[in-house]
Amino acid sequence: MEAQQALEMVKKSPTQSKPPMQVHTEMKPGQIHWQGDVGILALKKLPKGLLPMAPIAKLAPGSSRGSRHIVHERVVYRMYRKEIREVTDGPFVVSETEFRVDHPDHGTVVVPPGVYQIRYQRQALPDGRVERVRD
Amino acid sequence: VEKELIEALQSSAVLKQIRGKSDLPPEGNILKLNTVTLEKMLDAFQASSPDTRWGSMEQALLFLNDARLIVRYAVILSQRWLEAEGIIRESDYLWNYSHHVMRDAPIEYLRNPKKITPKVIQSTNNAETKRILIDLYGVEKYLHDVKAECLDVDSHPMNGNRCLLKADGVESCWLICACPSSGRVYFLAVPPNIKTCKEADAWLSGGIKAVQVGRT
Repeated sequence: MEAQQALEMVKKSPTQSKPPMQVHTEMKPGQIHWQGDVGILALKKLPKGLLPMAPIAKLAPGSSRGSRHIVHERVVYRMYRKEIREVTDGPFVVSETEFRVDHPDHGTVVVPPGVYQIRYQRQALPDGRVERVRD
Repeated sequence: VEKELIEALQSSAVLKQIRGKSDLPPEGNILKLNTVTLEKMLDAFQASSPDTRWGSMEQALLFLNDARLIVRYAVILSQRWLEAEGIIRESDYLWNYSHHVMRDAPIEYLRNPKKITPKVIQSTNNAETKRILIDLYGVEKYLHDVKAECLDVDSHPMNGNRCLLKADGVESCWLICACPSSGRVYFLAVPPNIKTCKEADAWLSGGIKAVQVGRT
């Protein structure tokens, strides 16, 4: 297939006129929901050796509009981080209640109480390095 | 966003305090706030606390918070006007610029898209900035100019239609996909040894073994 044809096919992907909300009443360990470039990965339990951190509502670093993956309301949750992180490693979240993550462009997601890791997409840079996708 | 801002402004403690002491619009006419300069609001607020410059630190903070809301609202109104005048093509251009997304792409490219070249696009790492630059350059023109070659296409039940492209003179491949919420088309760079969209998707996600149950 020609590149232009392939592009047309991508453009015809079904999209929502308004960002949809997805509510997960159950997330089994190993399941992930992607909200744009940020993933919410359900875990069975916390890995060993994590460091506690002050809970933050904004799940992706940065000051741009694209980085605003925000935990919607004040829910009771604890956060942890790895001491040495890969570019795809975000914080770990332990939530006693369901929590909702909003974003100005992507649809809202609601996940049930549980243990999660926030994951980031990565990309290859022209010089061969790898970094977290920024938008 | 606009509704939230208006609601926040309507409950503004500072505006309640100084309303009636200046020529600020009366309650219920908050849409006219864009004509009120921050300086005028500052003067009115200070005049309402004659004993000290600010009254209290709490009042000063309230003012700062309301000023922030007004600036955000003014940005939205400005965008709307610029769109109506045909000065910008999409409201998110100015919005993104105002939020520093465009750090990698100087404003001159927005004002004069003819300055954008494939080299400029390829040296841009921010996915959203790159999308805007490619859009301004012309997606079809860009694919033609870099002699893009299609390696694979597929259709994912949650991530939609995708294709994997390789461009002339570029080390990495691109997974081209559309955001299911906004429909925006992104060029995500993956290593050159990747041969399929599925492999590219797995690499972008960090190579973890996870079952995707949702995408927004």
